[in-house]
Amino acid sequence: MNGLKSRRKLLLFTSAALLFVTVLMSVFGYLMYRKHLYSVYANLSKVHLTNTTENISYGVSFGKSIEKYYGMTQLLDDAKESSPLLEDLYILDAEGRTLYTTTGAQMHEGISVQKANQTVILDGKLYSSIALSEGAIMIAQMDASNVSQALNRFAHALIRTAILIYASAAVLFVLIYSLTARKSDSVSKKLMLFVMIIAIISLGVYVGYTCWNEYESSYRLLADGVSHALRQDLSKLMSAGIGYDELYGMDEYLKTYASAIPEFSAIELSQTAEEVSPGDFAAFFDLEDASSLHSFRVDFTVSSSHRQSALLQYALNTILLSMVALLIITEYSMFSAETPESNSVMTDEERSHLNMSRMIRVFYFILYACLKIGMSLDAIVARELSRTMGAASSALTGLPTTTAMVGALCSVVFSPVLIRRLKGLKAPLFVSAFASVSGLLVCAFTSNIYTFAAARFMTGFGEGLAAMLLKNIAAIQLTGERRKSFLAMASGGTFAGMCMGSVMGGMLNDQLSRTYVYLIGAVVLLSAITLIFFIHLPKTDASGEKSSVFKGIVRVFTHLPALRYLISIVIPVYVCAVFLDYVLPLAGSDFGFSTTLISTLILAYSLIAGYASPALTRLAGKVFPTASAAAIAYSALTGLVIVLYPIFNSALFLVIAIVMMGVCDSFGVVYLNEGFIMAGKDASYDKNIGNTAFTMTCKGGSMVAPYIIAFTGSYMALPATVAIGLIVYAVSGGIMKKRQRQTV
Amino acid sequence: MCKRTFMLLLCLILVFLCIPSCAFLESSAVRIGYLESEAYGPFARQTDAAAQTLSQLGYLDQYVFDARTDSRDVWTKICESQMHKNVLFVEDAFYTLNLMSEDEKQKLLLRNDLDVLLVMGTAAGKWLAANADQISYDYMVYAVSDPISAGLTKSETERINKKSFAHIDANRMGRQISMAYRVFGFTDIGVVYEDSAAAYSYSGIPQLLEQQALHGFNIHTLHVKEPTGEDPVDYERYYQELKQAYASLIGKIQVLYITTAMIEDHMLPWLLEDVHKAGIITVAETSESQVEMGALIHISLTDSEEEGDFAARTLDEYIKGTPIDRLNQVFEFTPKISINFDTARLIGAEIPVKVLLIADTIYPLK
Repeated sequence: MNGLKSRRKLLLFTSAALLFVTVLMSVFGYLMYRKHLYSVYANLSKVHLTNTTENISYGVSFGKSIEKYYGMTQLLDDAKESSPLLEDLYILDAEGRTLYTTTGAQMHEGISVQKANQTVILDGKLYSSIALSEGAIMIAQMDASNVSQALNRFAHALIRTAILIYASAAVLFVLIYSLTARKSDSVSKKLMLFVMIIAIISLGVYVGYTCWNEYESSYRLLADGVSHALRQDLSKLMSAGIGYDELYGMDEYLKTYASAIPEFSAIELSQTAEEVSPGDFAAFFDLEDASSLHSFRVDFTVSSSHRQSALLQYALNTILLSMVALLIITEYSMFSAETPESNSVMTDEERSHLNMSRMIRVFYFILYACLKIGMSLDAIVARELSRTMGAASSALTGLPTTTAMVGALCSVVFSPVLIRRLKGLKAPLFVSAFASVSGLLVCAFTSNIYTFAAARFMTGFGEGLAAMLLKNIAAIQLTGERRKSFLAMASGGTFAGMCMGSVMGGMLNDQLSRTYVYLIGAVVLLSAITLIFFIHLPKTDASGEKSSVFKGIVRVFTHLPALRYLISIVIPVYVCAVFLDYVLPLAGSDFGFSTTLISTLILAYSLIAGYASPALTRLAGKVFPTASAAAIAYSALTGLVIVLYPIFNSALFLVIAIVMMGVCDSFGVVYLNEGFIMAGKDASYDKNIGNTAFTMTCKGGSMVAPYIIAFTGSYMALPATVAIGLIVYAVSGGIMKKRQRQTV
Repeated sequence: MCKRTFMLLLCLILVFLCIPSCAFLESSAVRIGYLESEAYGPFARQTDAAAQTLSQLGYLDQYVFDARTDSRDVWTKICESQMHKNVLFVEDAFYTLNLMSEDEKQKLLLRNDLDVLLVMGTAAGKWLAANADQISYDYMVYAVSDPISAGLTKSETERINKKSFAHIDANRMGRQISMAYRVFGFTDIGVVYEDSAAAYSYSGIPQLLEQQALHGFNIHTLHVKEPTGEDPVDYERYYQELKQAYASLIGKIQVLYITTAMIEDHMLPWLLEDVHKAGIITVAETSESQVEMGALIHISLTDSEEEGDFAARTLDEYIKGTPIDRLNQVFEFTPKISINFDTARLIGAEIPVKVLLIADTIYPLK
């Protein structure tokens, strides 16, 4: 009876998990396609307005201001007249006020603060903005019916396919459920997982392939737009009595159009009678002057680099979506996994412990997925916000990273107090989750760098507190074996959550905006808070001494070998740790990386650090004689890896540095901790307190890192800190030995 | 006691109600007059453009006029239209300086029924500035190519007296030369002008020298004597000298800068005949009409409609209470390009498509 119930449960959960993943992939697929379509129409409006923007930039280059540009309305009227696509044109100043318009209508309120190079649809109109000078923008209003039709067409096709794939998978699930009735649950589960993976990969491939096909077909749309604009220009000149043969500087002129559309690397115009070197495809038009009819041919060469980067982007999105889906499935399979204990008769306590571990794993998976949702964009948002305040200083950009670490540090210090005051672990877990939710909500809506920094403090505090609670839960497990299995399970959830969160955040930011990223994180986490009610946490010993933690920490910091190790090895390593979530997003965005790509690199780092860890830790154990030696080597290697980027200052070396950092961290983090234990082996402080002091030092290192970069003005400061740390370690080692000899 | 308090309060309310009414009484209409150096088409066009902008701003109602050739007619139409209560265009306050007797000039200086006088042209501006101590009203000077060197204002922010305002677009000729350099990228430019301080200024030589310092081209200079009156013989002598000077520059220059001078437009085809045959690019400083008559390119220095619009908006600020010495004097014109494509064909000039596309007028008009 129990077996049947469990099999039904399995069928239900598997179907629900696949439904969730299918919806997620379909939504992302739709967003990817929508973004692509918007960029095509934005480029089209640029093509139709090339001459107008040229004219304005010409006037501005002679000292005219946009605000007092006499004749601007006429210029806009002419542009509107010459293009069948444009319904209205607006010019807004840097404050979003409408300066000029062709119809006299005020700009739609919803987009009055629109930035340059954005495209939105409101009330059936598509608005696309182009940057002018002095912070002003030109907004082209077009009829959105074509875009809406294309979007609807794609959405219907996507929904049909998703339903088909899901229905096929569901039928297979039922078949597996029926046909494997006499087999063990494990066989059904494996088969169902296999079907799920196939379904997800099929949907991912479909989304990527369809988007790519649509992308290819949009070239024609752009080519027609360019062809129309060229026709208008030539017609204007021919009607002024200028023959085609009398035109000079055609290459330069055509480059203006090519530069407006990144999809094309070259546009060539010729008369059809001439011999031409054909591009990837051509458009044709006729023009009549006083003497004869001229037939023209426009050849378009598709930019291979743009095509490659688009292909890479689509492939990346598809792969990442599949990986996200697989992470969810893995979590699901871990949640419902059989344990060795299940084969035997489990006691109530054992069953309760297993359930708690599973629930905690799921909760921490969601918590970390939400907390790390902004990992690839936090630094970029901070830089944008500091720029809007007119003070894009490196110190101000680094402030949120610092406050996040301060928050984490505070949580380390105050977690014992919180646990004692709130009498248990559940209430602090609520505090952690609510602090994270409120931080994420503020991150979503703030436009002020200081508020953003305060919000990051909240998320940092939430994250730090969650980590401390996990350690506390593990510490009060009765047996070492149980503690180990619990920690392994919870860490797995945390790790998977981090990977998924950073990837989802990066992708969402590219498709939507940072507001949605943080908002989705907050909403998901808020809904996951209910899980805490179902977690039966072990009771804590509330009789702990009030001052023992602080005294213990003081004892750690006054123990010279431990202090030496913390200052010269641990701090530099954690100063370098900001290379991943601070330097990579900033440097990456400077190189034109999308947040999807940045989050992919973070994922690559995490996967290398996670999966290479067992093998490389064993290898390092064989190579280095002691844990301290391995930790020193880890510190030196981290510095050497990071130094590559500031030396070569190229995107390639940034990627190499991140990958190599993953390799170093795969073995280094373990030995860094081990080295600290070795340094304090003869000390009198409690090992748990030592662990707390170690965590505090780590957070402290990352806390000061942005300011070290700001003060020195170079990323070279990170490896330099490692070098200084190693020198200090060597010199202080010598002094300590000398003292020891004198004492002896 | 209660009654007294009530009465006191009532009085106070009445006093407060009276304050805005008194303010209204004090702010009577701004009385506006007009003075021009001579009867000149562009002055009429500029005044008309100003009137049209004032209509848009709500100061004039039912103002419709499109002949725009005679300033007197424009002024009459303005005065006949329905005016806003805050402005009054005084019909008999219209003056043309070169047609005025000394007695009339004296009467104008002593008028005390005006608040502000709109002044068109350098001569009128200079005359009023010289007699500023006698007038009781403010004055705004427009249509002056270089008001600083003409002594109508000290700088973009400093005035010669507290009643004056003069529109400044100090870099207009610099923009013209810069644009010509951008399009043609020449190394040698020729310029012919009268050897006098005034001609040095209005021919844009200081700006030409500034651009030379920026771009490093060579300037080839020759001088001629401009005619002093209407004497046809003197004109004949002037044109011969000018043509000869142009001819002597052939072989040394790629671009000829036709500066502001006494050249009549209809003489241009003859004057530029040899220059164009030699393939030299001609850039007209003064007006688009020179391009219509054969010069290759002109980048507008001034635009009557645009300056009229600026004058109206400045007047609007003045009416709203900005003191005359606080008004912004600087306004740069939107550059407009006119090209003669027949000349381009004749001299084989390679004008880039991008420039042709942003040109406002291409001659000959089709």
